[in-house]
Amino acid sequence: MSKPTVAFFDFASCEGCQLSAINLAPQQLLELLEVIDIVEFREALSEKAYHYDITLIEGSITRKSDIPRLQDIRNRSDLVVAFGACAHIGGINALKNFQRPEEYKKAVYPDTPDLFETDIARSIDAFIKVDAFIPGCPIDTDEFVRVVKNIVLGKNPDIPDYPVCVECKQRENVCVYELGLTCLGPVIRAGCGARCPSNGGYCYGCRGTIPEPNIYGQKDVMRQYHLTHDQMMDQFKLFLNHNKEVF
Amino acid sequence: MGRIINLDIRHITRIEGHGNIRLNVRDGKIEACHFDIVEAPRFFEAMIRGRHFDEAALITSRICGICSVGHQLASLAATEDAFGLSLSTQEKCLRRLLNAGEYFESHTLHIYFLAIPDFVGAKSVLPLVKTHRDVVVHALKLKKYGHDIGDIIGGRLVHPMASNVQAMTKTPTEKELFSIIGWMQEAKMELMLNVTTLANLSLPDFNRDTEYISLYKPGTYALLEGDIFSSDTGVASYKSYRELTQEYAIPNSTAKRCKHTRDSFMVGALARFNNNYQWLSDNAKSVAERLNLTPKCTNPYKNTLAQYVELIHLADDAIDAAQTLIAMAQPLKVEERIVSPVAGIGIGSIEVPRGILYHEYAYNEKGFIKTANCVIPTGQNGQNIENDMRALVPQIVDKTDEEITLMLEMLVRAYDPCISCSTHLLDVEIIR
Amino acid sequence: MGWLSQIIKRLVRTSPQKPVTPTGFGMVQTRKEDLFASLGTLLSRYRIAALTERKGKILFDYINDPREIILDYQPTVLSPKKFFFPQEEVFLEYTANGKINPKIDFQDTILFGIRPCDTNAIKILDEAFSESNGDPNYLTKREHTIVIAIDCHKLCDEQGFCYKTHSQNVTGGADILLFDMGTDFAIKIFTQKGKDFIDEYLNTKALDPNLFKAYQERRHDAFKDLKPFPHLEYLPEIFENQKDHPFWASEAKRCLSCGSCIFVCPTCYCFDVADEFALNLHEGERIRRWDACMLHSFAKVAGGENFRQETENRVRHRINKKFNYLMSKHGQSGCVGCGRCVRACLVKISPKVIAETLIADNNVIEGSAPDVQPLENHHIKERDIRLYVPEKATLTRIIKMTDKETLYEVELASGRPLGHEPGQFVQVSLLGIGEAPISISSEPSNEPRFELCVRAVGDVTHKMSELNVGDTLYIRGPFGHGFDADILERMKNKHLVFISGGLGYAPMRSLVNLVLQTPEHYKKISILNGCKTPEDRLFKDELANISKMGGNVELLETVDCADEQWTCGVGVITTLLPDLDMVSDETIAIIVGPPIMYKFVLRSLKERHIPPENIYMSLERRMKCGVGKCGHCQIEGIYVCQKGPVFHYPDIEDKEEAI
Repeated sequence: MSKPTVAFFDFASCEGCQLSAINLAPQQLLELLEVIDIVEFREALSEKAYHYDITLIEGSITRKSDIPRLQDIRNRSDLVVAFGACAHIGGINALKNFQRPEEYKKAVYPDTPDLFETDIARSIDAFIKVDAFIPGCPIDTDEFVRVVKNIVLGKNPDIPDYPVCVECKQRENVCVYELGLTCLGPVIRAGCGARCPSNGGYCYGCRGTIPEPNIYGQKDVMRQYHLTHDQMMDQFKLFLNHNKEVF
Repeated sequence: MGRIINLDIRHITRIEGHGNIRLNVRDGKIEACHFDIVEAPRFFEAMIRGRHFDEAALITSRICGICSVGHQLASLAATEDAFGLSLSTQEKCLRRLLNAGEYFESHTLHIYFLAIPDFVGAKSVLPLVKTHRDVVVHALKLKKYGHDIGDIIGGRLVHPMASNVQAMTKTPTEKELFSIIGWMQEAKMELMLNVTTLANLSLPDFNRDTEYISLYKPGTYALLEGDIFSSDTGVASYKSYRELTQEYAIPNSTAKRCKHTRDSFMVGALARFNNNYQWLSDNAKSVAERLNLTPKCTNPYKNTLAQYVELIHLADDAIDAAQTLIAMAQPLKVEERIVSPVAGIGIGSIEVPRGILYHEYAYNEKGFIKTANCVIPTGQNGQNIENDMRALVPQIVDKTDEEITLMLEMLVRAYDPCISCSTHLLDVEIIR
Repeated sequence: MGWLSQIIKRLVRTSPQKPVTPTGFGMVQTRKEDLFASLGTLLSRYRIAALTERKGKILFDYINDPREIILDYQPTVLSPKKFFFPQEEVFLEYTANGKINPKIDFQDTILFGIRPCDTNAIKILDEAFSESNGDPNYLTKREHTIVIAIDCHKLCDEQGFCYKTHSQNVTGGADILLFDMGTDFAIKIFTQKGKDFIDEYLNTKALDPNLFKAYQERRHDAFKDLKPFPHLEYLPEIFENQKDHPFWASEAKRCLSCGSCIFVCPTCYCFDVADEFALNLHEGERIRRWDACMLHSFAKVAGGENFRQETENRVRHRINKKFNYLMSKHGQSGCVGCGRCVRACLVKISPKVIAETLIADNNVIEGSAPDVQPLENHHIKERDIRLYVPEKATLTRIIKMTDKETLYEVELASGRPLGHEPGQFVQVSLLGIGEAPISISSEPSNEPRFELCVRAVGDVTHKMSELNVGDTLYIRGPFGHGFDADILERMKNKHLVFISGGLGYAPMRSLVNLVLQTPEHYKKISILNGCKTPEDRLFKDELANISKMGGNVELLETVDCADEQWTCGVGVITTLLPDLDMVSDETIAIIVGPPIMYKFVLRSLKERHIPPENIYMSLERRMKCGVGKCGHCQIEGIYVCQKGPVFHYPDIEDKEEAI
């Protein structure tokens, strides 16, 4: 089996997913490099290749001028993976989609609001065909390795389609609702090992919803725990702004 | 002569974020010399308006994956400043550990993955896997320590979830603290054994004096709290950060830059080293000596060496923090968080790996953010990088385009710029 | 089953456990501090799991010191089942070149301080993992564990409802039961294992009857006003009667389908299976993980069909499993009232409330309570350590049938004949990729070769399509109930009507080809086959030959969309039935096809007055283990991999989930 060529690209993002991808024990990373051939990784690499077997794209698209570059990458890739929440579901960048552009431009650049081109933030599948995704903000390193392995083996990426509660219960966590916090775990895709609720946090939905989430039931729960409509929507806005069922 | 150099380096590689260098030289005279940041703007300061104080760190963390801890700690500090909250010893120690984790991840990444390949003529760290495997394994180990500390203290290093206003919502076990001490001791040993790798790098002999700005708290190598120190003007209150990061317009351009007394200044490891050398740990000082690094150092390429020295100091500091925590009653309790919002302004100033970072929030009485301002180190360094380039180019103008390109890229990389952080872009030149 | 006797059974244990009666061992007493001292010394020999605190969580966990044990019960999130059936468990280890070994990670263990609800749950798990095929991993761990239970002298909290199903009383599932009498424990011994343990390790004295009486009175007072469900023994009937009760829909609307109720349940035992290679792509593992029938995709097959798509169906299945399917089998409620699911549920869906609602709305209770054999205390059953270990096989022929389907001829490396019945299936493994159930397409034979007709829809089947003749794959089976000797005997001298649609002809062929070897044994043989287009037809050449056979054999075909060359029928499969010449009580119909087909074919057969007793069918369901363990293939409590895939229609006629 010849090694597939792998490229990393990023658009509007914090690059935390690329950083998480190389958060491996030395032995693991060296083994990974035996399995794949990383040919493009601007953050750590100054070589350029032309064609890629697997392309991982981090970041959301926030300006029209990025679209040709995105399409060019697609044309040169066999398989495109949306890498992390920004590419997968728009991510935190899409929080600004709830404000009017003139408002947020002025807030940041009061004197020169039109200096920078910007549009609403979108996931990459709004513009190009995406073959697989690795969810999360940031991505989970183990999941990244598993997906890469599965793609190399010709398997489905194997991203869980069950909710965070599954992993949270298996870790015997006290439900964060009992701790006085609210959590989107029941409708959010697992695979993170319920990392936030297991470490003193709560789920704010960075991995997107499961297929067929019961948003009605989720809102009902949040109401029962005394969240106002605005508080509820604030929580949904963080990462689920793409989800029409929610809004 | 009549030689025309026309360099247009798009998307400089091996830096975090997207930056371009443009250089035009005609007859030995610089006509244009720019370092542009072309990262897509992301409007964080606008996005956190109207959000609750408990979410500020969670959101601003996403400004940058490399220094998300720094953004969180600056954000928390700003909120705590606004509400008049002080931190317990336990909390301070936990933050020191989390911060050490980030420095290990970030500095290691910069030194070994981004900077060193230039010196061994490699395009990236990947070929070094074959040629310098032991160095690569050493680097990966150091980086992993950083991530592992992040996992223990914050839940993870990239966008931790445990760091919250006033107190962490997670505490390490005694056993975990002992592992951190073990890793840091090992890291220190590894770093001291490998000093020669760094000492043998042939860094360009380029010096240009500038103003160095960093946090300052007498008696400590200030990273998480303190006032601001300028090598030109001395100590100033952190509240006056806007004066120390004055934004100004350059002629014929709407883009803004930062200056203080001169028309540029430098922040980052070298600035901290120059300003706070006396409070480095003894181990760190001895490593600095072996690297031939003494304050005040005006060679920006040596920023990488200063980072190396800082790693030793951070390891010593993390061991001290862990020991302080172990001396407390075990198991450590998650501290109760009682936060009453107060209307007003808060400022957080933190030394992140790339330099001093400021978050400023104005809160309403319910604890929702009205306005926010984040001033990031790369923005502060922007003009200084360009000034360095302008000073350097005449010295190297006889070299080939490739050599000039490499030296300019190495210069930019030495600053370890993190452009993802560009909450607002301070130095973009628009070409129409 | 024939093949089972052909493989060598490696039994981990040989001596059968003696049957046990609680009274057989009597009662003794010990000082608490003596017991804890004993546990302290036993830590060098046993792992001890007990109720303890970890990072602010109360849970059952391995302890390092008896002082970590919490005696006052506080409900835990997970039940102690995790010690026998962990959240995630590697059960096979292999290398890419075919070294496959079963893996059981066990150690001598003391499980200390579990409560009556959980002992009753263990009884149910013991049965689930023992029946049909003994699960080597569960049973080995179970056997190497001493279970020391502590009686509850009061209800743990307002969510617990053990008393509703008498589950506050320990009737087994433990070796030793302790009663907390202050400074001392009274000890009731349930098993020989428990007796041996006490004799060897514990200082005991005679039971103080007065002290124990006082304990019992205290306990009696605490529980005396807590009554069981009215008509408890009729629960299966009550639930069976009310599968369309409106409460199911209203509960389903609130249900988040998060699966929490299942994961915390002490009597849920379904699992999913995954293959994983290490990064070197050479060493691999087959792993099982807890799965939950409340999750959306639990009953979804690779082809896309989801047999429990609606939340309502999943809620109904979950609760019926406890109060109906398991209880009608064992006479003991599958719900032990521990209350964990109610505590874990954010919308507070409660089996107790559901049962009470259904009991209240049920006004017909007919006849006497069902007479079922109650669950005995645990007997270690036989188990085959190689239950999940596939055997090596080679691809000997590959024939592309259509765009999507390929026929593979497979030969077992051992050279043994597969020994299957028509209608059975095998589990096909590709190491590092996974395992998939595939029906056998060829008729039974004495040759070591058999055929599989496969549509590429999932990881395994896609990967199969990349294989070449001579490549290796791995096989378990044959599994399931096929067209057995009794059915074949019944078919003699009858008019056989085979009705297949699409890929359904693949399993059907195993029977058709067998029958066609001796057409003279049957009155008439009618083969009805339907497909989307002429291109999609499987075994085109064979069908052509059948159509030419003449005599008492006829082939009728239809397609949804015809092309110009097509000369047979156009339309769905049922269009072939009205004109078919058949005498109702001399006809036996056999149906295999896509799920949607059954309803319409059955209706047509009914119109033609074919009695249900004369109908057989093969049903497809999601299967992970093939041996009645993983739970995915259940139709209202019936395991398709055990009782099916071939069913006699009367057996499933009243099962809503079947068709």
